Amino acid sequence: MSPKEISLALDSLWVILSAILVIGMQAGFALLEAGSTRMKNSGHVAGKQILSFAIASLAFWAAGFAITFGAGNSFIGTEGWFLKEGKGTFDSLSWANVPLSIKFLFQLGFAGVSLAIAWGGFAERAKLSVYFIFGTIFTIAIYPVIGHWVWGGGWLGAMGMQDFAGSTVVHLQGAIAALVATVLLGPRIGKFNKDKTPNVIPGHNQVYTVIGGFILWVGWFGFNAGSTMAVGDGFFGYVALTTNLAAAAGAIAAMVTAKIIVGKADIPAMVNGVLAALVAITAACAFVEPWAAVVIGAVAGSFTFWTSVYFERKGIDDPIYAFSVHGIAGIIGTISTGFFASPRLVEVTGIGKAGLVYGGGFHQLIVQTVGVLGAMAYVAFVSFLILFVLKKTIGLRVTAEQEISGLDISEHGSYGYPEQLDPAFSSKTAAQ
Amino acid sequence: MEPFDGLLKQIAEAETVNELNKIHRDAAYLLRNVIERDVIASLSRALSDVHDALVRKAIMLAEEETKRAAVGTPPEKWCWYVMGSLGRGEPTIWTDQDNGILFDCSREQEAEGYAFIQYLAKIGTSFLAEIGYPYCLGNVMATNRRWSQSVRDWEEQMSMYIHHHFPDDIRFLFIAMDMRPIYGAHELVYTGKKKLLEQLSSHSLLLKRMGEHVMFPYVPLGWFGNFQLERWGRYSGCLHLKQSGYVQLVNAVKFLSCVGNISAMTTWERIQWMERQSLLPVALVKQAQEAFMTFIYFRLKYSLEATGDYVPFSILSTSERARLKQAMKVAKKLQRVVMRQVRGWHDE
Repeated sequence: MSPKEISLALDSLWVILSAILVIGMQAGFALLEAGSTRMKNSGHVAGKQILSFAIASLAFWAAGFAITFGAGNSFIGTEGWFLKEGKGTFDSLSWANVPLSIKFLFQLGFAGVSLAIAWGGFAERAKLSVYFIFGTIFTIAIYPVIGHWVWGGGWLGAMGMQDFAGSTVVHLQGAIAALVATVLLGPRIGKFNKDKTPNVIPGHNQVYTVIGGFILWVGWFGFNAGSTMAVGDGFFGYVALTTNLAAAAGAIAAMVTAKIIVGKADIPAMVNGVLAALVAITAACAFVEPWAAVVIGAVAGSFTFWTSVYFERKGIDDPIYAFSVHGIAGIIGTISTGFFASPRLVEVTGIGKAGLVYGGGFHQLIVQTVGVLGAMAYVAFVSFLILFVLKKTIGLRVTAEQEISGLDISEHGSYGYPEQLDPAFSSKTAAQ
Repeated sequence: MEPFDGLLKQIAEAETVNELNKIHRDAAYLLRNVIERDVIASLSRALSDVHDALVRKAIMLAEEETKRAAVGTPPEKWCWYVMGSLGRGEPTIWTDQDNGILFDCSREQEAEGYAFIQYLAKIGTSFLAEIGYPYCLGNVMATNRRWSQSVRDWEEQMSMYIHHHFPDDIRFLFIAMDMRPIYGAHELVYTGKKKLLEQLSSHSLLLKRMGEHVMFPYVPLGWFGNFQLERWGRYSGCLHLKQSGYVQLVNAVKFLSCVGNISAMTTWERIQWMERQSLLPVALVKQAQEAFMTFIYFRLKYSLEATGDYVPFSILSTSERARLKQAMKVAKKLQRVVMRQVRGWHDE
């Protein structure tokens, strides 16, 4: 084999392995979300993760990938439907030396994660039909547009926006959709009292939440380190290092923050701290030094705990704190390179300029801020439009009776935990 | 204190539970008008006297009722006692019942004695509820056999707690430390408590367990001096009046009294004794006294509002917050003093 062939083989192997890790994150979301919600909705919450990834797979294959990475203009790609490859169709990904099928699978993993994040805002009260419709539109008309702006040859990429693996493209997008959904759906029954004070609706299994968080942590090595799409110079190892340092700092910072603010070393808060840190380091992992990764992870882990308490006090019921963990942390992470991007790493990646603390001036900070605001505005507008129309036509929310019975029985006809919830079944079990 | 003197006279003259209930409500009304930080010590004592008089009168009425019903035989000696904040002489205006009965008689008469006090307990606690002392949710009441016994049985039970010291036993011993006689043969309670205290103070493993109990709950003040408010539920954004330093301070002082074999009944007197016996540094004694008065002020003032055990943090003024924070810091400091003391003792 020639060196070129060996390189192709190794890169391909690395990227498909990364794709598998990122797609495996769906299992992490299934456990994390099911553990963080109630028993009566557990089958639904976990099961919709498969539904969601199935929808994303077909929609991204048919159109999403073309709009994200296909040749077109500064705003959308207009070629490459159903992965149809012509001359120069996917030039935006030509820097990666792997077959298109692998590029697609890897990028599909990202679109799937973004959609999974959005569902956090729908949890425990949205109709099943909404998942089909919004999932399809999100994968074709929302995610790919921002993806194109930053990674597909669009205007934000041209400005030199640094978003290595998608703090904005993947996480902030999903989080904005989640926020719009949670606001339009309204709080779950019983979340707030008449005087607007919030009640706790605890998740039914903290162990699931923890394991889900850990699966996501491991999956993130595919997410960030895999985004190098090459093994040649070993840079993926560096990206994995910054990713891990940030996650560790986020875990500790979140737990300490929870202890300080509410007096409890809260386990779900620690898990969310890990995720917030990972979200934040996603943009910055290839641009910042290890010490900055620790700072970014700690700030994200700590701050998002505070915002999750704050939003709850303001009457927003975000069942698994998707907006804080993915949105606030996505903003922190994207903006962070404006401060911490080091000249050395900017040269390695060849994207944007050095940040403020290295004397790079405000340039990169402004670019990052414009990127965040642009993405937020577009996603908020389109998500609102779609969900508002759905609300006025088919309706977003199940009936109160269905919500109280639980989505397992009302939307799918069987319980995730029949022995605990179905009187007929539990008496039978007891008799045995 | 002057405004309450009239009430004491009315209580002495009252003949029915309804009259006592009205006096209780009048006391709340009066308190609202006279509550000031500067007079809180005398106010708290005066209010405690009113409560004592109300309870005493209620039990007198209950005794008459019990005798009329002719259930059992009155023991030779019996005493109705109170515990909790009433026992320590630092109650708020609407406080729940923590009470019990001790009695003494010959073994042969014990069964008849139990019949009498059990009936008395039922009538007494229901009268108290009518007067405005809600039943204790934790069932620390004379109707519970645990708290209404012959001296013989009671001593046996306390001795069992002392030797087993399971978590509940520790809790019961802490509760028993606040026993104060209200009506009847006071010496039964004084003697019982004296014996209890002597046993406690000489049992180092038990004291270690009791000290560990003082560590909880944590004072809801973060490392940066931030108040840790209730996060969820009806009382979201509120501070718990009892658990925001008060109960921690009271328990720490109670524990240190145990160690020093101090038989004082009230938290205030216990702190004074600690100074006399040099159990605490003088500066800390002063801080503890100041903190204790702050807690008494907050509890008295905000228990008058309709928020029960909680106060919405948003209604506290800046100076109130500062005072409360200082008091909470002292409560934390006392918990640390206890912790250091306990660490020095090894499990046997």
